[in-house]
Amino acid sequence: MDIFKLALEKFDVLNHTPVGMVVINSEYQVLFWNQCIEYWSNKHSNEILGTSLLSHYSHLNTDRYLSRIETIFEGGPPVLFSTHLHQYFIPCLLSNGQWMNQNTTISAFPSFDGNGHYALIAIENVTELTQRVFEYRQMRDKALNEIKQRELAEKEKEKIQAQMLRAQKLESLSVLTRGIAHDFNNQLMGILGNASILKQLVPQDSTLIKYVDKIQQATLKSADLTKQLIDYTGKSKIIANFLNFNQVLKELKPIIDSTVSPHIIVNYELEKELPDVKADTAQIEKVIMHLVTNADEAIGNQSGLITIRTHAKHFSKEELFNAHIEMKLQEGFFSYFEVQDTGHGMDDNTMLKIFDPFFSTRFIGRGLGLTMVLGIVQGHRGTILIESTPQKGSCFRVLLPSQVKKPA
Amino acid sequence: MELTRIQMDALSEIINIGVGKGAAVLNKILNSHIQLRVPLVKILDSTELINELKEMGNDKLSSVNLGFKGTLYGTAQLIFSSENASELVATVTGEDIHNLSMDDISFMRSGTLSEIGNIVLNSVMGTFSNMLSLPLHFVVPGYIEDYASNLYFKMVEKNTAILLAKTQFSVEKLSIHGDIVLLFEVPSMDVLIHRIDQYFSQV
Repeated sequence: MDIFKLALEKFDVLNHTPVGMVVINSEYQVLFWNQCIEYWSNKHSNEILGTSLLSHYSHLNTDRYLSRIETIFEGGPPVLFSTHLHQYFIPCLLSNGQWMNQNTTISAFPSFDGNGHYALIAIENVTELTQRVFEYRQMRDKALNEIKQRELAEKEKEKIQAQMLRAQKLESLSVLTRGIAHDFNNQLMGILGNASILKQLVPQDSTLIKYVDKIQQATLKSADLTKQLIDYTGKSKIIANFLNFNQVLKELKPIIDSTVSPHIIVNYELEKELPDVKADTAQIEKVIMHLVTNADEAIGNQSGLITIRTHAKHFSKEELFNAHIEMKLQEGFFSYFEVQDTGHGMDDNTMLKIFDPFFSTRFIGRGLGLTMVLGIVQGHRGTILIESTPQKGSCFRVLLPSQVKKPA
Repeated sequence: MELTRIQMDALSEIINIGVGKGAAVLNKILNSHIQLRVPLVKILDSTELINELKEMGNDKLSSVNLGFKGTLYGTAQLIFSSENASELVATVTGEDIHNLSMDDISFMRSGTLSEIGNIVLNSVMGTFSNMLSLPLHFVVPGYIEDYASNLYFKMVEKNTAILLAKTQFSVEKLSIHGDIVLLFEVPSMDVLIHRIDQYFSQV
């Protein structure tokens, strides 16, 4: 009897299973091709019976398949091909245009002539199961993402609430300070004006002149203090120009080097192509000098290092989340300078208070320095990021939005 | 069951050759370079085996089973601890197991480990069959996840001889421990020993 007819007779029952069934001999010649695989592969048995399976499916003609299938013809143990390691054994296109996922088991079946074995290939369609797992994974990823977003929103809400409270507190203080500073300044102008008149009226050789001078000096110092109070409110007048942090730092370098204690080394790491910012040079100088003085005092009498860096980069919303500023900043490109010291650093509790007016860890300070720094940066629509570790040091990073200068 | 040192050495060698062939096949189909070695082979009874497998932890074990019959009757198993199974699957499939649910891991484990187990066990049993001229028939491999005591509870009462081969899978920098367990009915074990003696008398 014809071998294909014999195969059909022997394996006909396999035409009634929902599993793709194929029988090949040791020459890879297809002896049986059941109806299920016929339907899946869209290849009629007439096309494939008697031909080599490898001529139809060349991917099987590789060592990774052949070395395992060969053992079957010798009567070896069944061989499995899992969909995770080989998506399919016989490529079958599904109606949605995707390839079917298959788990394939190949077992040895004694050949009809009793000489060796045939390979009985059973192909299981596991697309739905794989798809379910895939969908489940997508659903889980989505749910996890939503939870993450919700947690982030909750965290942001808490931060905004804390910022609002702080903003309210600072705003009240700011209004009070502004009012006092304004009235006080008016009074000081009166004192200064009258002291001036007095100086003109008193004879130049009078011993009273030195007292008038002292009145004038004290009044000017008070006016300076009043100016600082106004700076703190962030409402001082800003004369904004295109400014480059590198340039400002180069000009300030002699002053910084002479201000910092001799046992401290100042290191400059300035970015070559730093975009400009729009800012008031005098106010930015004040900020730099204050941060450097602060770093110097944090290091104290020990030897240490202050590193002043400039750089520019894109800051994401997440990176700006912990910024010390009350207004909401949009993510974007910022130029920044930072002052890093190897001083005593700060704990979390201190970090929360450092910008509060009149908060100081030192007896000699008035506690307005960092408050003024914050006011100035806030007035420039920038922000401050701080990193600090007790006993290791702190880093104050001042960010202002980068500007692209329009050609003249 | 007592085996002489020569018989134990012979068993170790056959298993090592089989496992080596398995590693060669695995390397062909996987992107990772896998090395397999069998540092220890011993004969145990079922209670000793359960105690031995408890060293893998208290979690469920993943077991790929290949039944065989013919001159020998028994089952060959490749067993991993739950954690090692997940790590091996993650390594060979390139999936991050920490991002997978237990369902995903379970589905991937059963498919991937069945194939890995199939390759290793086929190579080991094929080597036994070829070297010792033992014609064997095999049943389609199965995959089970269960506790050690449940996997072997039937054998506690039966007098089964167990050959345990501790196998080390080294996948790149990762070292995963798996055990190959060959369970023979005692008469089969006698046949096996007899064939080993015959084989070495011919060498």
